[in-house]
Amino acid sequence: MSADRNRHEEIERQITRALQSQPPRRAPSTLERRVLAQIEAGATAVGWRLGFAHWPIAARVAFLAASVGVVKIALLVATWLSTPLDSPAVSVQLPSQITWLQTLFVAIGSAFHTVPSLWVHAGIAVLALMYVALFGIGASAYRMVRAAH
Amino acid sequence: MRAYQDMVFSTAARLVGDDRQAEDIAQEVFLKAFENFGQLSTSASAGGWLKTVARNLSLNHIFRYRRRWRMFTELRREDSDESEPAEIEFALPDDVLAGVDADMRHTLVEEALQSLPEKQRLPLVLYHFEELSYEEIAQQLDVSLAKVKTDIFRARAALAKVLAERGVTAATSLGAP
Repeated sequence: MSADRNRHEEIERQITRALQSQPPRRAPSTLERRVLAQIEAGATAVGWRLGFAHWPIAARVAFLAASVGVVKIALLVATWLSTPLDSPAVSVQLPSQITWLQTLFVAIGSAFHTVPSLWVHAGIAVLALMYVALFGIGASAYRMVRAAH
Repeated sequence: MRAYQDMVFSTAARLVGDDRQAEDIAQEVFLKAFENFGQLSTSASAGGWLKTVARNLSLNHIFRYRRRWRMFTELRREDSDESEPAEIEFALPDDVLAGVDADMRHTLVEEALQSLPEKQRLPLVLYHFEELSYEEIAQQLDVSLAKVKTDIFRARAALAKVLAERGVTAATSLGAP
């Protein structure tokens, strides 16, 4: 027991000495150039590393507006696809510029309604499976690259 | 910047264990310093500020990275980390790097450090290089005090083992006795 403790203390002493005598690592010669280039470019941080909270206000507002728009369109499409063609909900008056869009969705909707629900569910399941498989392949590739690195 | 770039890069590189990511983090640190240039240029503690920012950005990077990939990289349940460490089963010379010249010694230590798993390297670096207490490390890493102590204990043993192996090899290749 005492021998073990002595051994551990000896390791701690040697490691502490080895680490304390380490000089700082030399920074890559590219670092200073990169920083100066970023400052000159007016960037305040490495773009890909920033989260939503660091985006410029205008970009955040535009992104939120676009997100709301996408959600509205998705809901509209879902309504069209799930509503019978003769329902009053479908006959909503739209600006003439986008009536072709309604025609397109109605066509897609009618095609969708002719497909047996089993196929629809199977299709959704296959898509979900493909998505998970893609995610898994991505993760495996990442792990391989990381292990190689 | 030249006076501090090695220190900032070292802090990031030893914590994240990856030179390219460390350079990105160091760049971000100096850009933050540039944003606060008015305060820092007259401050005597600019070095401390830079070191703290480098440490915090490195830890943020690690945790963000870890969260993103935890689902895939940590599927296996980890060993019981708070149990007693394993016995030391290798021969430890009086000086693990005896017979190795200083430059080689520094390189071997850095390489050995980077070869440690993250859960051991992080607390070890925070303890020995960042000079944080066990309690501060536990707080920073959001783990128990017992785990910090065990991980540092194991990290030292692992590092000593790697250094003993590599030191002997290096000393032999240099013709030391």
